[in-house]
Amino acid sequence: MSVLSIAQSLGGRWVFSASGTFIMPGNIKKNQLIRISGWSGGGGGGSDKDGGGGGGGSYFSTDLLCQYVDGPIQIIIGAGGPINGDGGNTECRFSWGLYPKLVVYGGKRGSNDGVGGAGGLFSKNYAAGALLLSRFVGENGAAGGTSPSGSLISSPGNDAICAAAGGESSQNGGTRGGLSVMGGQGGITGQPGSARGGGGGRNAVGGRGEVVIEVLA
Amino acid sequence: MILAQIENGVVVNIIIADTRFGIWSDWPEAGNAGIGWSFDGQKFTPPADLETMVSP
Repeated sequence: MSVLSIAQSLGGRWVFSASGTFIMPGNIKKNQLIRISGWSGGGGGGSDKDGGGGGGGSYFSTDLLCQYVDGPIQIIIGAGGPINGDGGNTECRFSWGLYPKLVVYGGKRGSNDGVGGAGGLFSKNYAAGALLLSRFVGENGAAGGTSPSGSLISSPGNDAICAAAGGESSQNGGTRGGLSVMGGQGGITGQPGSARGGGGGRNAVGGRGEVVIEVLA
Repeated sequence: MILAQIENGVVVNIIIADTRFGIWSDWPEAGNAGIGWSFDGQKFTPPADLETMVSP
């Protein structure tokens, strides 16, 4: 399967909005670095009038020296959580050595008694020596907004930097979804989180995950 | 398509895929099911707390 059939290629940059497999192009030199960045799916908001916002998806970014890339990389893209549901996990599974993988866990759903969903967690789960990372950065997702049950209080989603932001918890709107620089934006009440794992606002779905692979100079 | 990863009859992950390929080639379509739902090979059932939450 050609990588071009499953990812959008932008001249040395591949964007996976759905699950697929990355195969290193033959023209990449062994002393070049590839950067792999990923976001998990955002949690959905609670459906009740007091529902909390969904938690934002988590984030990782790592650089690999191309000479250590010894086979395909399977990409699994976490879906956005449905209303009352958790976001999916995003994974990169490496096909060599001891089959290491990187996982970012989906944002949690907002509860129906007003508690915002927890942001997703990141991890690097690989056997020592099996995956030579020259750099690794991770950030947990931001939590969804929390409004005490029956309080009529509106609460914005929490903000993030690289990870995704949380969704708003509000009966009637009036605040905002959480904001993120690189990740998905949290939705307001009734509005889905955006792609890259934004948490859904109350009574809305979370944003899907994403993986970006770039060849560095 | 939205697919569900099943382990021991329970949904452990929900993913987006544009083709059936690799390890997710035989995962069932999730519909509106989420993580934590049970799957009997035919249909998905929400967890008990979610059934309580969505009941009138």
